[in-house]
Amino acid sequence: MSFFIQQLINGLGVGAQYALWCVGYGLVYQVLGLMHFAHGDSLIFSIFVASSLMASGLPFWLVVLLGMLLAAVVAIGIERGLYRPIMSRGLVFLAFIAAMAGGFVLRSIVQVIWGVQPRLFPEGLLPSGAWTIGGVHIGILPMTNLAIALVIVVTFTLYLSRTRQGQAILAVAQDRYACDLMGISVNKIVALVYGLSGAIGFIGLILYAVNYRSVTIGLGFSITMKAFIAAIIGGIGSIRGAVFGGLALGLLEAFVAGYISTTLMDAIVTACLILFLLFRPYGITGRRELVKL
Amino acid sequence: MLELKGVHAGYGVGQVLHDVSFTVAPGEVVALVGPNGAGKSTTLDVISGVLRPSRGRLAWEGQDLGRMSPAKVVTSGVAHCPQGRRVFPYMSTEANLRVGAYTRKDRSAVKAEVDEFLAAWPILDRRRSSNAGTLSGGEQQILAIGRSLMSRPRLLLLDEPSLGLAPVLISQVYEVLQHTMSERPLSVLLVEQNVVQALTLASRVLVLAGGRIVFEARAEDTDADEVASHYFEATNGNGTGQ
Repeated sequence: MSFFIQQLINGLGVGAQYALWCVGYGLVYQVLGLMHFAHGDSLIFSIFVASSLMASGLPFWLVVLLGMLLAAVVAIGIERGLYRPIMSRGLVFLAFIAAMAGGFVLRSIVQVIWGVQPRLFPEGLLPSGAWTIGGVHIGILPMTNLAIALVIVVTFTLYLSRTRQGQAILAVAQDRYACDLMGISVNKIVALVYGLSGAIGFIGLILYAVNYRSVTIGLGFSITMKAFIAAIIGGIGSIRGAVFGGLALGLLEAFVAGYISTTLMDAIVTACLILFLLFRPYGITGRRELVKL
Repeated sequence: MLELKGVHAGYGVGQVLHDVSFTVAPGEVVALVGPNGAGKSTTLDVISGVLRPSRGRLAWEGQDLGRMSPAKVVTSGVAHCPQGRRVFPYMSTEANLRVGAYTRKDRSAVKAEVDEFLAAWPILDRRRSSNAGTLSGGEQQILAIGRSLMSRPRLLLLDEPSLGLAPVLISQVYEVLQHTMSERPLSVLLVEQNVVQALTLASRVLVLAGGRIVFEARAEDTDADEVASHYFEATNGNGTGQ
């Protein structure tokens, strides 16, 4: 039982990171109908810069802020320079290929600048250790992850539902032509969406770096895949779906690793993805289309 | 005052509008009628800045509309209520109205106006928290007009408000317009297939066929039969030319 609870907590802690990666990824999909397959690599570029800033002695909080800003700028740059020219010609599928290519280019840039060695992060950036309650160890770090992710997700949800800008984002997701007619500058909103996806995703990656204390180049594609799988499981295109999907994926991994096999973990997770794609492509929380013409 | 002078426009390589000129005076309702593919919606797209004219001049209250972004056009006092209503299906009725006021900064006045509009149209007030996609066609049309009015336009471009609606709903939709015009100064450029209905509100009618204005008359000098004969003649004469 105590092992079960520990796996549960670890799963939620990891799932919180996945949720943050997935929120931005899902938002881009919801608003633009595009699989943002350069998401992970753009975050990796930002975290490598952040690691150098850490090494130069900047305080952690400032590194986080600068990293978020950089991740936002990189995401906006990818949209402007890569996705928009292709999407504006109506080539949605090619945009997906271009996204993968863009990710590859970013990865190579990172490799040229920093080499292939993993970047290390110091211990103690966030409180760690564990509480022991009735013989069960409850990790403080996974709980912190979860708390941070929930605060961000709740804030973001309120931003979307309560602010004029948030409502414009939702409107652009539904009908861009109508948004033009309402006086919403669609291109600005699109940039905002990419910026937010980068900034929020970066927080997820900072949590990862704090937890594992190292980040590798190869993680970029893995981030994109986790975000994609979480989005499919949870229901692509909604914040709620991203959170459910991220946490579900974290738990699934923790329990498969804990009770079945760490070697088989990726295989089993991918098999689950296929099952969802086959039988429930709109995910746990997704809705079927409801549009009256 | 809206003035189009020799406007040419199209999508891609195809020209849809050829040398279109007309005016809409303050407080006037002008009906723009014509067969499918005549260029009626294209005309509205050019005025609202969604489509750039390839030639010609568009002036609105002395400003050059042809160079403005859609957002600038809205803030200059022109609203475009599109064909097919295009409400935001996953947003509530109330949220749709608020998005219509996106360009405005006076948030409290907007809130009051949203409430006022809903109070005036109980058919929508009952559905104020429902997703707009679940509304009936007539409800969506009234909502779409209300949403356009939220930017406080002095000119409303209204595209086929009666399309696909039962007669009883059509008269309700027209009531929204008449009600608004009785309360504040508003010009309307009304695109309609339903000529009889258009003539009940319009003071002037323009027939657009094959991308050209082929007939223009004051409403009291003409009737639905004459108007229809003009656009059928044009249709049979030289095709509609999409």
